[in-house]
Amino acid sequence: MKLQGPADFCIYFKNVEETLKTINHAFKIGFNTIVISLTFKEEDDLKNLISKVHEAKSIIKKYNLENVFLRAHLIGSSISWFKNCLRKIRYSFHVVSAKPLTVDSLRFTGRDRRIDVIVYENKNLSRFFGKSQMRLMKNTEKALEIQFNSLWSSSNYKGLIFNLRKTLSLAVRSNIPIIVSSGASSLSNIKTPYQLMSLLTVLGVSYPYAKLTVSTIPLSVIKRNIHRLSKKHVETGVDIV
Amino acid sequence: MNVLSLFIALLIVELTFIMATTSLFIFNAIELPVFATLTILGLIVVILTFTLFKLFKMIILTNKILLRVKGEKVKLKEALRKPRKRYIVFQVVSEKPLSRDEVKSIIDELIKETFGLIGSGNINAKLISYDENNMKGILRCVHSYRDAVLFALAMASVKTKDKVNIIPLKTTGTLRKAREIVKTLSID
Repeated sequence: MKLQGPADFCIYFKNVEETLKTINHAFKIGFNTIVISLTFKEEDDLKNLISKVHEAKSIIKKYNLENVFLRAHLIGSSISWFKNCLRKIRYSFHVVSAKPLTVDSLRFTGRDRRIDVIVYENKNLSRFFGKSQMRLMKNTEKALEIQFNSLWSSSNYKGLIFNLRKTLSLAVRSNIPIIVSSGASSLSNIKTPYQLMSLLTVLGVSYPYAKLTVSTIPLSVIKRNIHRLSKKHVETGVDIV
Repeated sequence: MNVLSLFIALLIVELTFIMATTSLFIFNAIELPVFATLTILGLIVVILTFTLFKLFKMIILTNKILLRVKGEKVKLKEALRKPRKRYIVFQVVSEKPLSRDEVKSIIDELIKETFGLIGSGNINAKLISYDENNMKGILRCVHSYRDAVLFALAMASVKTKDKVNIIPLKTTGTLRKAREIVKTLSID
């Protein structure tokens, strides 16, 4: 099946049944491509995570789900942990995203080419998504992801809207691709593509650009990584024809 | 060409004419009656030019005012025009079935909390119908605020801590079509 938008770039993996239900629901409400996200934290045991990966892969294989991709979502503060993790898991996932918890790790994730997407942090690091971070992200062709559900985890919405609008305008001005995903883990918090787009339009981003954030941009990230994982790819700019 | 610059150019020409006649009279090239006639003629032309300039200026000003009034009228007409409507067909996902009043209060609260008193007034959302059996309903809003309503509906799961989720299925321009969609479209 041909890859086509709209795409939900992040549906968190909870358990097999719940995730399968959520995927089917997402297809029904209008998504054509879905990315299942597996969260990796510093304190987690890598063996448990690997079993989770196998479970997620088995769902895709068993139910013959087309246009469903796997993504590793790294949450951490230590640069060495990020490096270690990336070395082990990079080639088992279609997409790798990061949610850094410190400024140093934020800068590192901005520099490292193995990471495709940086998730916007609401709480402490929002002010560090400034010009220098955008420049770093632009050099390494990274996308900025905004997860709808995890945005509202804190109670202070006023600061959130202000910071988010600032970051969005900076990203648009410096040509950083923006992705909006639902960040859903169950049926009760899944969003439709139009609802995801409405977040940006309410914050002042134009409608055509908002449309790109749920269709063209996530698909381009997935396509790039499919090509990277294929046997034809040798290095950036070097392919076997 | 600007009217003012045209007027100044004409005035210079006329003043030069008067000065020339005066200098001719001083050097006795022309007689006194001829000089008097030419000077009076020159002055009459100057007065005429000045009057014409004022008239032109007034006409231009009137035109500008008329255009502005016309623009304001168009704006006022657009503002006073009956706003177009959009009908959003939605489905509620929750553990227990919700009544019409509950859904109405949730939606009203969401829109008011997200966009405030003025925003909710502009949006003018109204729950047209709600079927408690299949938990589907139709919500009416002003067409330019469709995105705002979708955003407010998306906030339902956040506000109710994942207990209630409102999923918009389709947006239409007529109520008849919305009712058809309620009958046919479903995510179950």
